[in-house]
Amino acid sequence: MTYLLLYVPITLVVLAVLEACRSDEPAKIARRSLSNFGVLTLALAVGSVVVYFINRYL
Amino acid sequence: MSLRFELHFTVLIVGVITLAVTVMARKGERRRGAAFLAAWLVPGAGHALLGKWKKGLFFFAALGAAYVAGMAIAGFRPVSFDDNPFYYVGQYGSGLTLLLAKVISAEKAFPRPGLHPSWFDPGMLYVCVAGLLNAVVALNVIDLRLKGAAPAPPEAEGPPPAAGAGPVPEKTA
Repeated sequence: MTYLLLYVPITLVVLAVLEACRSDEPAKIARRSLSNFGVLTLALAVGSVVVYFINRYL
Repeated sequence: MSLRFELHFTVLIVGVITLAVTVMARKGERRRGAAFLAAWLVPGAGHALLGKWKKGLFFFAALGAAYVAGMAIAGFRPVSFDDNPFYYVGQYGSGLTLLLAKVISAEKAFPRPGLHPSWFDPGMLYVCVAGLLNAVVALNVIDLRLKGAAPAPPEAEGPPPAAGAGPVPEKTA
């Protein structure tokens, strides 16, 4: 289960590198990376909960 | 994996890179072509060559950290084709990772002792992502706007027609 924690650093690296390709401002890169990370994590968490309930009750 | 397939794939990657560099050189952008090649060889080197030192260092640090972390998890053995063909191909995104994979090649990677086997797959993923992200960074070199360069040309839209200009269509009864 702990290997799921490896999701955090690699996702942050991917998002930061992709943002750095678009922008030159470090503050903007950090802000947008964290924002995208939050949205992505939220979407994954909601999806996981939905899949859990589908498998559990349907 | 057969040696012939590996040779063909290596020739394909080197051919694509050579073609891109040649096209850029013919367009009079030799420096950018050299930067593209350098960016493929070493993460961040292309940006550094074009004067964007901070970005180059950032890319080198981020991708290098991801690669080293993945290698540490996988017991400092590169991903072999038999472990995972997709992760293996990801190493071709960077010349440095490709070189390291060839120098310390192994029949089969295995997780570092002391780590749970479930960490092995994410470890290989880290190595693969470092290579693939470097391909994105190298492609970014082609599109990079340089200081002092001519501004991007405006979109292909004709000038607005002047009032009264041009023939006025006659109304027919």
